[in-house]
Amino acid sequence: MAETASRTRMKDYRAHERLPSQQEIELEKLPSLHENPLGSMKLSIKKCLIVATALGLGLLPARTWTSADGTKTFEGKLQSYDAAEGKVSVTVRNGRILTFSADKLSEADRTFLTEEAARRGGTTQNRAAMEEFSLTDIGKAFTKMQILEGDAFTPHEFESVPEYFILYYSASW
Amino acid sequence: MQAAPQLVESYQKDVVPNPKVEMIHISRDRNNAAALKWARDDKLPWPAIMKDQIDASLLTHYSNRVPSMILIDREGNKVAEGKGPVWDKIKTLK
Repeated sequence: MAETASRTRMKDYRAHERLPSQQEIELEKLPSLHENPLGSMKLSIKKCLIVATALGLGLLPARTWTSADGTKTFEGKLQSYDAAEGKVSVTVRNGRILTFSADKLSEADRTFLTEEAARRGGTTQNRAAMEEFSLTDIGKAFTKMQILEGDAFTPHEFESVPEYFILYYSASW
Repeated sequence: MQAAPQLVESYQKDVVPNPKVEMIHISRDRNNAAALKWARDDKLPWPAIMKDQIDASLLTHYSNRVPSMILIDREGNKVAEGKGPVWDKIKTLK
């Protein structure tokens, strides 16, 4: 499958970016998927600034998050993870961004966050090389790549610049 | 022209795990709909560039045969040609 076979596309993101509508929330007050709708939550909210070490993590698919004690779950897309402050921001179904302490999450979720931060850190190191490559004749030729996602082609970018490219000239006929 | 299942398998085995190399399908289909149908039908896992995006680029200079396979480096130098030599080379890229 394209999703699994091909390397992950690099999504545009900006480190140190301040996220809109930051809110801080106690995880204990997050709803269980099997309990309350998000709209009925009682939120303890205060404004929160993302510190300079924040990592913007781009458009990852939604995942089910589990509380540290394993009793509550909720779905949402990881918006950012501030490794230095231990703060996680997750976009939930109604579009609201929830920010809370990573230690409120299960060990599996914390491992996921650590791996995502490491992966994106590596991507950052590749950014300069990718931008330089995009200015070359070969790099320009590859700016229009697409890949099958579901039933449609979608734009595709290299996660990092390969050293070699296999050009496979072919057609359906 | 259908992609041999063996090519998909070889891609999964030898290209996907190797960050030094990527395969790009240079579509010679006359229209994007035909290319999309082929990709859907055969679940082609590699990135592709459609014909209308290729014609103005230097990718047209490497081959005018279908099917054909060329290995180039970042500077655009041809390193190997033909599936056998290309695969022999990429297996040395660890």
